[in-house]
Amino acid sequence: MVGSLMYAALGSRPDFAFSVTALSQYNVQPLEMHVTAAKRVVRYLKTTAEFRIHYRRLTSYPQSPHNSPSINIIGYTDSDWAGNLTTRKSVRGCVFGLGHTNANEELVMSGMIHWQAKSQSVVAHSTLEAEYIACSHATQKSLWLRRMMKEAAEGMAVKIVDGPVPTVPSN
Amino acid sequence: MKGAVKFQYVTSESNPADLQMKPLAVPRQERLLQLTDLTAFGPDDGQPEYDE
Repeated sequence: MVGSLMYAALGSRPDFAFSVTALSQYNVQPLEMHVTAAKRVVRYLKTTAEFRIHYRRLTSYPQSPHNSPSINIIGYTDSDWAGNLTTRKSVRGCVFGLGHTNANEELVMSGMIHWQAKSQSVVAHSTLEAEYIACSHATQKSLWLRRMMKEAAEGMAVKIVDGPVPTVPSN
Repeated sequence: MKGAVKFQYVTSESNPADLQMKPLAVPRQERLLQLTDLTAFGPDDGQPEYDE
């Protein structure tokens, strides 16, 4: 059951990825409470079956001077300082999506293209250090994503913005 | 690639990365999902990408 949930969480439903990750830690010796929790996630999935990641039409993206849509990447990061009480390691999380302008001319995220939560490999000594590590990894990821999208968009009527990739760490 | 990334700071309340980090209360989860454009989308809500 957890494997099937994992498939959805990794592919198209980041909203319950945390729950599936937490459940998967008990795959080896699950107790009754873990089966109950897994069933609860399935019920959530059933009630939110219509949820989709929206990838907007190209015309909703800012136009470049050459009248081709300019797509930017926007990312958010967060960390959970010493979230693991046994190892004192923190978890870093990030979410990346395509940027588009809203009615107030602000750059906001539309379709998500990448999301991840991972335990940090080193023990951070403060929230600042944990956030900095998360931010560093997100920066690397954002540059990699932009390079990959630029390659994918080569020859297409889409421009991947060369300017800054807005990356938004938590306070 | 100096200057290739621009950083802004937001409070935890409006940070969609929190979806990956911790269990959230329903109102906050819904708000973050709206921020990331992951919402209900029925079969009749779609529009063709290109006009005929």
